[in-house]
Amino acid sequence: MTLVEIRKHTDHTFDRQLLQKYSRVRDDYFWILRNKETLRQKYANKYIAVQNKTVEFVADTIPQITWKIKQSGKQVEDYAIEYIGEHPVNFLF
Amino acid sequence: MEIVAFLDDSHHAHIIGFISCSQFSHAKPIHFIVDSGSSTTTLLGDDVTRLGINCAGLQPAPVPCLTASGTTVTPYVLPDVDLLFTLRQRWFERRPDVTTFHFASLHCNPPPTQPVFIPEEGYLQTCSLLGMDFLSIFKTWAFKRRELILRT
Repeated sequence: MTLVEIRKHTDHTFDRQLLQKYSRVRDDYFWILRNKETLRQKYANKYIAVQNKTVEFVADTIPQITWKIKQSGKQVEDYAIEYIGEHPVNFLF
Repeated sequence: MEIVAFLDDSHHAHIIGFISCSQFSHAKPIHFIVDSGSSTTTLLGDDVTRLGINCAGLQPAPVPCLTASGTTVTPYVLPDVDLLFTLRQRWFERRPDVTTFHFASLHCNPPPTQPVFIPEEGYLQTCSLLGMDFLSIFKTWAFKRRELILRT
């Protein structure tokens, strides 16, 4: 087992701005998951970078999309980045 | 403690969290699929690239890993990793709880040396795997509409 410690943050130990940023990016990921079928029609086989529920960058590979974000002067970690496949798939783990 | 995963149309459970490690100072977002078939939480190639993790300085795992496709891989060991997740907010709480889960190490699959252009293979690098080293602390798994609720 490699999980060694669990720390619960309180109002005093966690930065409010950071929490807002986390919530926004998290919401963007959930927006992609909820709208995958709609996004598939436009961005099949592409990587998309989403901020505030808007697709801002599109590319064929993950290195390309991170490069595009950095080139625009923005930070990669401010975006929810996902691969949109052409068809839905089932994972077999 | 309660964490909620989002269930998609194919019944995969997704958890969005944040990760920090010695290679970068501030936490970055990460999208996990709940994978009870994975012994160890593993970052896949796309996330390794996106997070800017340099595998060159990492040690290989002492034991190789057998993947679902039947191939064996030797992942790298990423030491001292914090995963941050928001816990379910109870009705009387104004702000969500953020909890850090500190791992001595996680597995890290290096990205392919050449970018993948084959659509079906693109999936193989997406969505890192939240494995049993994390999931085993949750004793109750409850399914409710589009949610998988994990409780300690």
